Amino acid sequence: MGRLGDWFDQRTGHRALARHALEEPVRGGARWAYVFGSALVVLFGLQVLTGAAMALYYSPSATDAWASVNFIQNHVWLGWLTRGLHHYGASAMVVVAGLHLLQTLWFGAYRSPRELNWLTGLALLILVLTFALTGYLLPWDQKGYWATQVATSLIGLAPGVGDSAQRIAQGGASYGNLTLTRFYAAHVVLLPAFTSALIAAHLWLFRRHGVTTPPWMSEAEGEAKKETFFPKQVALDAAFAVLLVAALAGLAARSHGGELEAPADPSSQYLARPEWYFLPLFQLLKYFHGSWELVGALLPGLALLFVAALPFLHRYWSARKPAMARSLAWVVTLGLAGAGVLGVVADRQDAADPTVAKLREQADREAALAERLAAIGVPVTGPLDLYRNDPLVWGERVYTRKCQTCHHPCSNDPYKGDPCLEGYASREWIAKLLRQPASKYFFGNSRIDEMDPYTGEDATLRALVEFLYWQGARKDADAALAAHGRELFESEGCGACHTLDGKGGGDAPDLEGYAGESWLAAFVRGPGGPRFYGDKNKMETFDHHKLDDAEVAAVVAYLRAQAQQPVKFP
Amino acid sequence: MEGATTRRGLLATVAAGLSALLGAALSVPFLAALASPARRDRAHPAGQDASSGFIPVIQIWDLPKGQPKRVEVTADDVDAWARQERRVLGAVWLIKISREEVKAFSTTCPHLGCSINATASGYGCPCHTSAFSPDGQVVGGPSPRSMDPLEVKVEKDTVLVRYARFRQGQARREEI
Repeated sequence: MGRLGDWFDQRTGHRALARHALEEPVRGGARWAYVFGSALVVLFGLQVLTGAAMALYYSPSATDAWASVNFIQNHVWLGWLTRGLHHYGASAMVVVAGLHLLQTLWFGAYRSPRELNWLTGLALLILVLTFALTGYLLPWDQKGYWATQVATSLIGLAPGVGDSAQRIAQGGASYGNLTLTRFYAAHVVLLPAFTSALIAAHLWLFRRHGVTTPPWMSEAEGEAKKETFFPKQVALDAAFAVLLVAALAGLAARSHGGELEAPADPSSQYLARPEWYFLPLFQLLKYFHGSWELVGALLPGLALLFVAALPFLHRYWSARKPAMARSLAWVVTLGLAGAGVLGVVADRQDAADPTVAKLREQADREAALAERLAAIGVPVTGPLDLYRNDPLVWGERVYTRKCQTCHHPCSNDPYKGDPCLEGYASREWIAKLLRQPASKYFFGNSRIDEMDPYTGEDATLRALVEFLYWQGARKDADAALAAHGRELFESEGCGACHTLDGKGGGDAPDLEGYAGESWLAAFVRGPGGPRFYGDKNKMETFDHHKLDDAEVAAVVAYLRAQAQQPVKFP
Repeated sequence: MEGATTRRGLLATVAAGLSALLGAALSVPFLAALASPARRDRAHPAGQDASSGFIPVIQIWDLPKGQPKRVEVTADDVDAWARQERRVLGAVWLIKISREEVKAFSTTCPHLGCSINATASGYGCPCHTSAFSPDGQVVGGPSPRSMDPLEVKVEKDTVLVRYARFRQGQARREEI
């Protein structure tokens, strides 16, 4: 072993290099305050290793990205832990970088001749944030998709070059495959390369100027209490890093990996919120409107410029005011605290907003649903077709998009839509329709006012309801009661307007097979035909350009299932 | 002075131990991700089993009697996360013996996995010139075993094949 080491050392000089690294003098002695720099190196290593692990599986395309991340999360050995560590590791980098900055600031380690240490450090901080921004999009889930849109839209605000810059950033006029390949290349090739180079430069500069003597010690005292980097500072650094990684693993275990929301859906209603470290910027944008928006976007840039100029400002002012270092440290610390307050305000505002809570709940539901449907694999056509795995689920999605624009959710208050279809064609729904067709939940908001409310006894109403319910080929329909209802159909006056021959031509829709599969499909395709409303029709016609046959079948399945749901209006 | 040396030695041990622990901990996610495919039980989502059952490939009357015909095998399949209907899994050589009986061979050469062609005297692999007789026996070249037969049956005039893959480069036939 020793001889092999000698052979190697003669050729590489690795022992001298190791000595040089480990025997670095730490003026004033080893201390916990110095652990953050090496913790950042460890965190970067963690991100590289967990990132490489995920790169074995991740596929940067709009059809595959979500599915491959879901695969990592649920099918790769310890994949959930890997994703969780990478996710929380990113947050930890921001936190530890902040602490490293504050330590440097209060120890005065940014002052001349360490200007370039400070500037390379700030550049690294910006790289960390860029990593976060580009990584956020890669799962192609709702959260990443919508939150990143805000960032690229901000780029588009830049005067003159905005449009071109935005196209370059997102690989085209809108989000798609090219956005993902671009962000992926940046995240796993370009940014790691820049970061590695800058870390090397940062460390080189650090070694060149050495550890700054703590501000409460004289130079002589610092020199007297000097220790080498190894072993004490290494032990402290390693201990902190071990605790940090253990804490990240704990966080990952608690949430069973990183969050993965439902697949990105450009047509959906989603509340975009950035990761916590961007919340202050997000909150700031709320205070600026119109052309001032650009100012809101530039303000953090100005703050950053001030921080970058710190070593130079200090050099300029300290000649006049010796206590300047402390004042500058206070300014930056308070600035950071102010950003923290903005972040908390953003969080509080969301917490107090019931709309946010509702959308949040919906997003969680959709995420769980997508994960469940993906258990049998994601269609090659992309994760949005996942919902086709389950006709009822898909029917609800098509219904929400295409039908709910007029047939509003019954919970809307005041209700201003066309007939509300939650609980549609259940016995209760039919009974309510017969008793009060002009209710705002039925035809009250439409311009159909020719149907008279049924004023007969409850017993005859029940028979009529059963007859109509039975038309829909319901297994639980009472055939005898329905037959009685059939007799009442003419005598109670329904037949004056409604036909029962499957052809129509009366003043109101034909009711043969009412709310059955073929009746509903035909109705959706042509509500204005003679079989249904004829020229009284107000509903949109859903031809093949608007809904394909499979989509109509899904909507019909959804509406058919409503008969087993409770009616949700008075 | 000796106390200081002991203390330094202890710190050195702690520093080295913690650093080693850290290195090991950081490697775990990558090593697990790398080794994950070796764990067969959880490598794929449920519903992956397209290749385990009999797959209809052709109608019996579309096969010429006694002459080998190369037929594509397509089935609903999941590749890692991507589920596809009628994905091409591979191909098989089919030889009709009678209306009720068909023989099937894998088109993959048992040597190193090239695709086997039909030749004037039977079958041959163009890559390393392995040659096989009409009933699949090795008659020349480097192939360590004869062509891999596949389970096949005829039901209601439809030919069904149980598609399988075999380990290459060894004399023993072993399904993978």
